[in-house]
Order: sequence, then C-alpha cells, then structure tokens
Amino acid sequence: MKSNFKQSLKSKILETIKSRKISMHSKVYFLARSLLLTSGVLLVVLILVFLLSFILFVDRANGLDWLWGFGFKGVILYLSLQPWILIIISLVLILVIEVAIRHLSFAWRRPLIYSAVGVIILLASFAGLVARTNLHDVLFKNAAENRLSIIGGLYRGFGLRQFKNIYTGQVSQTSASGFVLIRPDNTQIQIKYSNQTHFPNGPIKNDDEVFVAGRISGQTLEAYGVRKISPNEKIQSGRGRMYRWNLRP
Amino acid sequence: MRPVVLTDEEIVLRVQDGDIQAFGELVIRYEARLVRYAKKLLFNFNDHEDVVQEVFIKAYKNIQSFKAGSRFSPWIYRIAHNEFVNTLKKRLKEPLPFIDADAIFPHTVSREDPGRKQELKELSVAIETCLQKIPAKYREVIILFYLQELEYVEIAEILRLPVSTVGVRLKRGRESLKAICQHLNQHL
Repeated sequence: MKSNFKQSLKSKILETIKSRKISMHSKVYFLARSLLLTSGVLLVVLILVFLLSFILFVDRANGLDWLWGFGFKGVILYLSLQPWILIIISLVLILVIEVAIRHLSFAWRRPLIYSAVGVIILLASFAGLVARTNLHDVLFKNAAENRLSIIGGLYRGFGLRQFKNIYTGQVSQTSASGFVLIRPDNTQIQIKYSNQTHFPNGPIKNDDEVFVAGRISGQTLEAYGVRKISPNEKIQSGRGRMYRWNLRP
Repeated sequence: MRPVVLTDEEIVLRVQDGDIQAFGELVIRYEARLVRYAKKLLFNFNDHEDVVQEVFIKAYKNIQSFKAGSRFSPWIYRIAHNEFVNTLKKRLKEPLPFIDADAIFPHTVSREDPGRKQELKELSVAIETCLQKIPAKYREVIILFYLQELEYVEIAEILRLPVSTVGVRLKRGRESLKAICQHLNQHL
C-alpha cells in the first residue's frame, strides 16, 4: 500500500512535469541571475560609498564637524543638523546589502552582527577614503556653477545649507561679554558669551575670521562656541571651506 | 550481481542531463521524509502532499542550480523549508520575523547534543501533544532534529542560520514544549 502510494506520488509528479511542460531552468539562467544580483549589490555599494562620503563632505563643507569642539550643546546641534534623509536612505541601502549577503554561506554561518559590523566598517572605510579625495569638491564646484545637471541639486541643496544657528564672519568690537560678527554680506550679529561658551582654538581678537554656533534670538546669538578659522583652513583643498566663504552670502 | 545503488548526487547528475525518470527515484527517496516534515510543521492543513508536490516541482525546475560537490539532502530540505514557511505565512499569518533576534548575536550553546534518543523518549509525549502550540521557528528545529534526525550542521544549512542559533532554538523549543505541556497538566 505504502509503495503504491509512493509510486503514485512519483507518477503524479512526473506526469505534472510532463503535462504542464515544466522545464528546468538552464545553467545560464542561474548564472545570469547571480551576475544580476552581484551587479545589483555592487551598484548599491557604489551608491552607498558615494552617499556616505557625501555626508562626510557635507559635514566638512558646512563646518559641522567643528561643532564637536563646542561641548555637549555643540554635539546636540551637530546631530540635529545632520542630513538625516541621506542617513536614512543609507541605512535602508545597508539593510538591502545585508539581506543580499545573508544568502552567502560566509555570512549566514555567523551571527548577523558580525556581517552587519563588517559591512558597515568596509563601507565606512571606503567612504572615508573617497571623502579624502577632492571628488566631492570638484563636483560641488561644478554644481555651484550650474555645470552639473543630474546630481547638482544634491550638492547645491546640502553643500550650501543655511543654518540659523551657525554663522561665519569677521570679529569686530570685542569685549568681555562678546563681539560683533560682520558676516560676508556685511550684516552684523551681536555674539554673546556665556560661561559655557567654548573656544576650542584659543581666545578671539578683532579681525579674526570665526565660526560661531549658538542660540539666536533676534540679532543676538548666545554662543555655544567660537572657533577661529585659520587662513590654511579656509583654502585647504578638500575641506570645502573656501566654497562656503566664496559662495554663501 | 547486485544492482548498483546510485547516490542522490549521482542521480541529480542524470536529471541535470535530462533524465526525467531519474527524478522519480529522488521523489521516492525523499517523499516520506518531506511529507512527515510538512505534516508536523503545517499541522492544520490537509494538503501536505500538494505542498510536498510543489517542493519537488520546484526542485526539478531549479535542479541545474545544484552544485557538484554539495549534498542533495540539505538542498532539497532548503527548498521544502522555503515552501513550508511561505505556506505558513500565506495561510496562517503566523509571525515569522524578517530578522530573527536569535541569529543576531553569538551564542555559547553547545554545538553537539549527545542525548538525542534519551531526550526524544522524554519529549515524545510533548512532541505529540504540544508541538503545534509552540512558535513555528522552534517547532521546525524540533522536527528537523528529533523527527528527521538531522545534525545541527545540516539544520543550520537548511535554515541558513549559525549552528549556535540552531542550538539556541532547540533549547528554547524544548523549554517551550515542556512549559506548555506542564501548563496543560500533562506529565512528561
């Protein structure tokens, strides 16, 4: 009885295969599928390296990395000013890569945390390397001069951001309680010190060019920190600072 | 002269070369095991054989992806696992998480379990009566280990999980089984 049943299932399956004209996928099909998957993953990796290095570039181009020297409030401000939409897109793409590589035996044989950390370290390393080149500076310059059509908006949007808590300009009329900041467009802001204001690279004097962050109220800014910008930093290739000075009002 | 018994992998080579009848031999070899696996995992459906039939059809369609040098058993079990899990998702809406917390971090659970037969003796009543009541991810590991008598490494390959995660699931599955049975006032 049991063998009859076995026979019947076997016959049923063979019959189904023949009658439904089910054919096996060819080796070329599986090869093409693997190639497509590999190409897709590589493309996502390239996009991610670009995005992550761009996020690092945006931080530098806008001087956001200097906020780390402005204490706890500076760090909070740094986090709040991050291009979160790009970070969220990057996280989603990292998840896509993680899902794709979990099909590979070297990944699923180990706990997920290992492959996830591995992917993040690798991507961050590549992004760090790309961020050290002048790729984004060149693209940014072209975008600012409207010579970059497809991704120009990305650079113009994120590279030339205006923040209501961050200002750059020249120091004038210093006093014990603050100074007047003359911005590149010649408008003035009163900068007020508090006992929590940080000066990461020393005290400020008249005519210094500075980067200031804090809480603005009317035309007065209570500074979390004031950082001198040295001439080297202004023109340093790959730091994006010169673009900010040249292009932002 | 005794007839030459071909291994599963040798039969697969024949099927890959276009011998459809040889595929029938694979069906005979695996049908009983897969139906048993389906019956225990998809306990509240009556069409186990249709689901198993679909497993074999998919195996046939994808047989060219079977790589020489690998073992056929984990390969077809993997197809069965995917088919059964999809069936559970579709029909029961049973929660099968996309990312399993058990597979995220490393575990120090023993990789070997020498007392399988003794444990099976102890758990046989629980498996018969309470298996249906534990979550699918634990149910499946218990089925594969105790009823299909597969090794941790084979189960890991089928489920594509680290071996230590298989150990964790088995441990939690056993605990869950015992707890549910105790709750139902049944003696193990």
